[in-house]
Amino acid sequence: MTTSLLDVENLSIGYHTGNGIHLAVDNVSFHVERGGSLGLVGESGCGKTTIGMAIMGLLPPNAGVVSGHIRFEGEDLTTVDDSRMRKIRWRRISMIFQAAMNALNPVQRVQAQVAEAIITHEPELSRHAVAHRTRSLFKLVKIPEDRLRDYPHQFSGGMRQRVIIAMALACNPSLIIADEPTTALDVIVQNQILKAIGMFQKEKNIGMIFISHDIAVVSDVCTHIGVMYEGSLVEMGRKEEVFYCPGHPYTRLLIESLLTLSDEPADLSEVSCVIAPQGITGDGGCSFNETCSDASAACRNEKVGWVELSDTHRVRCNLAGKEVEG
Amino acid sequence: MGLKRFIIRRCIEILVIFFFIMTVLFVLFRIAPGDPVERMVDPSMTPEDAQLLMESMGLDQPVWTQYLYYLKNVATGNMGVSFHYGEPVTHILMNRLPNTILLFTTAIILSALLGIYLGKIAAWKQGGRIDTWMTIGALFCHTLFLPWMALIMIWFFAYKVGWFPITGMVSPAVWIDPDTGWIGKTIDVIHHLMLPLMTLIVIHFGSYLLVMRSSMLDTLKDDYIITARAKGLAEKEIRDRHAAPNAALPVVTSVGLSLAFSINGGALTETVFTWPGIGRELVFAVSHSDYPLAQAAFLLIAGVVLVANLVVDVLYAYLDPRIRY
Repeated sequence: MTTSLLDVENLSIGYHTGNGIHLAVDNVSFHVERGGSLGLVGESGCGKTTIGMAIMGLLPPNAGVVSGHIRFEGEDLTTVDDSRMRKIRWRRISMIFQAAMNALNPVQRVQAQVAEAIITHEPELSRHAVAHRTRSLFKLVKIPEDRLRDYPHQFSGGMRQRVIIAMALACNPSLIIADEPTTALDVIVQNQILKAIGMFQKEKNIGMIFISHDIAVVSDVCTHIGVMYEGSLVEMGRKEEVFYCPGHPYTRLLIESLLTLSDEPADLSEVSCVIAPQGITGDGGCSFNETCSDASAACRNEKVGWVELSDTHRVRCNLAGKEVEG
Repeated sequence: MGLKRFIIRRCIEILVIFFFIMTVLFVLFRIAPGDPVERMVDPSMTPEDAQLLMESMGLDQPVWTQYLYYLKNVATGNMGVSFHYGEPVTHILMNRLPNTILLFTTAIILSALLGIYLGKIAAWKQGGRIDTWMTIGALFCHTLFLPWMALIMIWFFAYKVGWFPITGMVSPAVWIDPDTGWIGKTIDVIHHLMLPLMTLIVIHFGSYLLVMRSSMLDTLKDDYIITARAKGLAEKEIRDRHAAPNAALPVVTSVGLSLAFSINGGALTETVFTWPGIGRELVFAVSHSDYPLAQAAFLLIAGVVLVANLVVDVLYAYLDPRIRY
C-alpha cells in the first residue's frame, strides 16, 4: 500500500460516562489519499463527528482515543504533544464547520478572523502580505471586498459559510475536514457551497473528509464513501459502488429513504426505528440486526467481519457475501 | 452612521424620562409631610411676616402655577437658595459633583477591571483550587457590610499603619501652602482617595468577578471557541482574544446598573470617609429639611444616572457590534 495522506487504523474512541466508558467509535479504519475525498455518512450520534474531532485533537475532555492510530503524513496524531498538534492544526489540517454553528466570533470582523489563522501559522509574514492573502481568499470565495470589515451577524448563512471556507483554505492545508458544512442551508445555497468546496478541493489537490448525514450530498462531492452505524464503519467503497450497489442493509435503507422521499411518502415506521442508536452492542453480533429485515439468528450471535465485494468495496455484513454468491 | 442616530434617540429618551422624574419629584415634595415654611419661619415672626415670606416663595400660588414655575426654574438652572447655606443650590452641588464622580467612577471602573481579570482566570481554571478560592473570596467580599468594612480599613490603614489620612478629601495645610503646585495637589487628593477607593473596590469587585466567571463559562462552550482551538491558537490567545471579549459584555451591563446604585448608596461611603460629595449633601439636606438642596440633589443624581447609562449603552454598542442600530 502506498503511503496515504491520512491513515486511520483500528481507531476506537470512548466517552467517560457515569457507567464506564461508552465507545462512540469502534475499531474504525480508513484512509484518505492526497487529493482524495472520503465521505462519512451516518445518522446523528454514529460517531462521525467524533472521528473528525479526534483527527484534529479536539476531543472534549471526557473523551479519548482508546486504541488505534491516526497517521497523518507519516506522523501518529494520537501520540503527538499539544504544541506539535497546534502547529498541525489549520496549517496542515483545517476544518469547515457546520453552517448552523456559531463558528465565527461575533465581536470580531471577518477579515480579522481569517487573518488570524494566517498570522498564527506564518508569523514571519508582513502585515501587508497577510492583508493581501486575506483579500485574495475572500475573492476566491466570492465575497465582495467592501464586506471584509463586516461582522459575522451582517452576513447571510451562505456568506458566513463562505467565510469559513476562506478561513479553512487560509494556510493551504493538505487535509480538510468538512463537518456537515451545508446542513441548515437552503438547497440552492447548499448547492453553491458544495460546488465551491468540491472545486477548491480538486484545484488545490487537498485531501478531504466530508462528514454528513446526507448520502446524496456526500456522493456529490466525494470519490469514496464510508457508511457508519453506531460507531462502526459498516461499508466502504468508491462512491459508485456504495451508491449504486450498496452491500449493507443499512446503506440500502439510507438510499431507499432518499428515493422514497422524492416520489411517495416513506414508510416512517421503518425509518423511525433506526433514528435512535442504542449504543454499541459489543461482541454479541451485528449492531444492525434489530432493524435489518434479513437478520438471522447468526446475525444476532456471531461476530461480523468484513466481506470484500471488490478491490475497493467492502461491507461489514455476514449476509453480503452470500448475496453475491447467490 | 447608525451609532450617531442611536445616541440622538437615546438623548431624546433621556429628556423624556428626566421630565417624568422632575414631575414625580415635584409631587413627592408637595405631599411630603412637614411644611417648608415652618422650617423657615421663626416662631417670633408675626403671621403677616410669615405670609409675606410665603408669597415671596410663591407658596400662595395654586399648585399648577407652582409646577410651571418649577419647570421654568429647572430649565434655566435656577434651583433656588439653600435654607442652610444661603447659597444657590446649583452652586453647592456643582462643587460636590466632581468629587462624587471622581470617587465612584474610579472605584467602579477599577473594580470592574479587577473582576473581569480575576473572573476570567477563575473560569479558565474552573474547578481548580484558584477558582474555588476566588469564588469564595468574591462571595465573602461581596457580602461585607460597607460601613463595617470602611471602619476596619480606617482602623488598619489610617490608624494602625498610618499610610493614609483618616478622613476628608484634601489636607488644608497642603493647599494653603503657596509652594504646592498642581502635582502636589493631585498627589494629596489621590492620597485621600486611596482609602475610600480601596474600600469600594473590595466591596464591588466580587460581583463583577462572579458575573464574569459565569459568563466566561458559558462563552467557553460556544462554537467559535472550538474554531479558535482548531485554528491552532495558543490557549492564552483563545482565552484573551476570543472568550474574554465576549464574556465581558454582561459585566458592562452590570457596570451601568451599579453606577446608578453607587451614586445613591454612595451617601454611606461619603459619610464614613467625610468625602465632600453629592450623597453626603443629600443626606444632610434631607435630615435638615433643606428642601431646595434636596430637590436639586435628587434631580442631579437622576441626571447623572441617566447620562451614565447612556455612556454604558454607547460603550456596549462599541464592544458588541450586534447591538448597533
